Amino acid sequence: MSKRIYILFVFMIALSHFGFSQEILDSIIIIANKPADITAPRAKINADPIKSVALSDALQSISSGIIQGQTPGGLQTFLHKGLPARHFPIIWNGMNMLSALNGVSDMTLIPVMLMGDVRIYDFGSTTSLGSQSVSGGIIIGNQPTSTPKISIFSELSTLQNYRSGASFQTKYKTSSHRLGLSGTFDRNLFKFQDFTTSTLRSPTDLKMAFLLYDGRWQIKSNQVISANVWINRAHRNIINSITSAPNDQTQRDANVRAHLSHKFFNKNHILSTALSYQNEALDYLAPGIDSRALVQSVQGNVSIIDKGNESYRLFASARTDRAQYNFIDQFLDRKSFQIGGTKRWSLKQWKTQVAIAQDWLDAKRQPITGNTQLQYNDVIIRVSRTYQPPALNDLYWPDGGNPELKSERSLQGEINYKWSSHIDGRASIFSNWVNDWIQWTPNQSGKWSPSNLQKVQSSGITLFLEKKIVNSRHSIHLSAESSYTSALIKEHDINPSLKGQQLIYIPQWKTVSNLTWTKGIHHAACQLISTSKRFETTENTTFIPAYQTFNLYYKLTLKNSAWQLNINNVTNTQYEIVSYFPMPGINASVLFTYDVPL
Amino acid sequence: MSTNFKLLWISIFAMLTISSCQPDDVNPPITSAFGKGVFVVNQGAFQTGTGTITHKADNILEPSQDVFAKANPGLALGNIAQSMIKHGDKYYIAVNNANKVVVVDLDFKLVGSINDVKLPRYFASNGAKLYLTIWGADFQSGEVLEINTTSFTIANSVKVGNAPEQMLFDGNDLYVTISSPYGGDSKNVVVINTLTNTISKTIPVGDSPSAIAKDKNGAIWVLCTGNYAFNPLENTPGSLVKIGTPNVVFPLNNGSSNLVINVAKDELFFTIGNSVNKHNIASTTFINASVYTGSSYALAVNKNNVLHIANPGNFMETGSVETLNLNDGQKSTFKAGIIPGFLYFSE
Repeated sequence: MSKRIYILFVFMIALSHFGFSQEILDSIIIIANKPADITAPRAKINADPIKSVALSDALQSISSGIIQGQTPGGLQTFLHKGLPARHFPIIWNGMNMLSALNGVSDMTLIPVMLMGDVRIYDFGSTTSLGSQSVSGGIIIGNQPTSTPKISIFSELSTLQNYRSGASFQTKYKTSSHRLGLSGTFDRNLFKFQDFTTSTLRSPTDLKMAFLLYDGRWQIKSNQVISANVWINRAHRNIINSITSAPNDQTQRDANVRAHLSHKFFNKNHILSTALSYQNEALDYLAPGIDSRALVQSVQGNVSIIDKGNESYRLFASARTDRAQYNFIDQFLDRKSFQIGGTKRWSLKQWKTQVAIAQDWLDAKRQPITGNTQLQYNDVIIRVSRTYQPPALNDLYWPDGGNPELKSERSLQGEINYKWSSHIDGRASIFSNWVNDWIQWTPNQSGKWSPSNLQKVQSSGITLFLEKKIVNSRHSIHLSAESSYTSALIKEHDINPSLKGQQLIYIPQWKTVSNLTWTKGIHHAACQLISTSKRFETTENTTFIPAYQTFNLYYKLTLKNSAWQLNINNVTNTQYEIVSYFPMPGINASVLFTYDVPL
Repeated sequence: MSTNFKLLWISIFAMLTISSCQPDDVNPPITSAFGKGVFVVNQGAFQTGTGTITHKADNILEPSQDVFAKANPGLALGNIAQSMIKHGDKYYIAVNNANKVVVVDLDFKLVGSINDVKLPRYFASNGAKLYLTIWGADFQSGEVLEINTTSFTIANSVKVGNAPEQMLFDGNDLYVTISSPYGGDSKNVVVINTLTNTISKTIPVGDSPSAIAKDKNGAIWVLCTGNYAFNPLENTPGSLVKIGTPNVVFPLNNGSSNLVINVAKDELFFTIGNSVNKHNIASTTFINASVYTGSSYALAVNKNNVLHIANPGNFMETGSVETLNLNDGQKSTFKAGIIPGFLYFSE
């Protein structure tokens, strides 16, 4: 491999391991304010009795998406509705956390057990997720403090993973506070079949520490101030494929996020102003490479919300991102500005909402974005127009960046129908066109460079069925969700023969089946996840085989505590998400939670 | 000589004579499942894949893909197959990111491996000795290793520093190009006396020498890629250098690579950007004419004077090998694996 190709690959892969969590500013949603948005979240993480310490475990239950990661403890991203992770923003207090440098954020670094409210949206919504929610997104919000208490959790796993944490909630007459702390040491040790012999996988030794704080003060009868802080540190070994020799690669993340908001309530409106800050540091060390990057972002938001029935909202925001590498004596800057509004109407069984926004990126006007939703009883029709700007690396990478890149543009539509009968269900059909898709390829001079290369159409159907049997003694809940996703290259400027090929790593089929049983303090569940084969070359010549994993859960809920046993991959299936990166066979973990009322 | 000794000599002679008359099926000649053609060493997907070997026989239209996996079911060659060579009755394959050399017989069945060679690159053989360049774990403490081809171990090592690349035998002298590590600076070709395994000469040529060829007059040519750094402002130009007193230097763009010579050994071919260019060795001015436009990750010329060009495409799909007959201009193409990066002709 030539050195310049190697260095580019290593660097891009290294960057993709981390989440410099900034991106264009987008939405101004504040969960506690009930935004004027009738879009319902697809799922609420940890809303079920069965808890997930890792966000990736929870996302795996969504059939229209797939967790993409080489190995446990490595970078985890979510490919949703056939589109890449950069099209699925993660929003924390109104701030898009996807990296301004490479458009990726690592879900491993999101401590969901400390997060009050994590919601998954499966459709682009300018109102909720911002202008770049091409395939939905995640909103991480606050959890209003209710009962003062101390909550403790601890998890041990046969993979030699140790996680524990605690949150403290207090409430006073005019203020409430929530402080969360957690630490993780994930070795991710397991045996796998290395062609002819059983071998122990190299440990990731992922060490993470998190601190989160939410505070609210009612400073006057009509004014509230909120403050949020999120600090995390992480360090891990990057594990090679089993076709590679072990290598000394490590990465270190140091992230600080802070958010301060003020709300002023008058008779008819809520005026909300907010200021957010992110500082994302990344060190990547490998033989011959010492890469350090720092991204700092500041965002300000203002919004006016109709207080009555929250039928409209006007918002404006501005954001600046500044990135710097240790090997380039230059700042990479981006400035963005957005204005928009949303309005909803209701008339008998009809509900409708329209949102529209206009962004400027480095003083360049971006495509007008927006979404509209029409609901009639149980039928919802959605149309959304979004865009995805090039990442700073795409624009300014010193040896190949393309400042002329256009933003990717997306037009998506979806029809949802849900019904209640002997078997409840939900069906949805979607189609998403993405034009000016950005991709890095070798250009005419032999250098790698990104260009707006292709058009992609991702279409699919999701069917969800469930049956609940509840009586005075126990309840049984059966559900199955299956998604078909066709993510096809429709046009390709360099290689027209790729037209009609499925995007790499996107399964055409994924089915998630659940059976849960509850009797008093006992909860038991089993889950079967089936994932079809996924191509790993753009011309669809080679693929990663289909696989099934079967998981069992049992939870015992006592007065102030709970014990949860997870047995994953019960059938000890050997499978891979990325070629030559084996995933763990059968493994188990025990999660203990304890609440101490104050 | 005593009678006993005479009888012994007669017996030995008789035995040797008889043994030399054994039918062929007792000691069959070495044969290979692979006919005359070309092996393509495909690096495989970076980090997430395995290298593969394609073989295209001259008399068969379709190439045979992944011949290692076919000969060794259930095994993978390893990440980033870099180069290969035939030495004796075995093929040696350097697998760069797996830190190993895989040894296969002429049917490509695995017979052994040499492990823990840090970032192996290229081989050179004079029939008697086999050498391998490695970069070292830190990409900059390069060595030239002599391989014990009986025990598959390292017989000797010569520390050359930086990032040694391609080599060339000239009698007992082994010319080693020493490229620059990332952000570093190397300008030298090192000459190793293979009788003593010591460095006999260090020849400055240009920034980051990486490929080497000998012309019909015995002159040695070196292609220098130019130094490469994260920051392109720190990159330096490449060059094509004819070693002499003084050297003859023709400037090239940074990133120029590969260097092969035709059968007559009077025309050099090399890669500049998205073009394969040639230079006639007799010319005192730089003849830099393009003969092929397209991506060329590796070059080789076979005994029929056919230039082979490894085209990796977009590095995410299977590449191809384009051929250009330097005698009549005839072109053809065949499919290879993912990222074809080295070409080696089977006899």
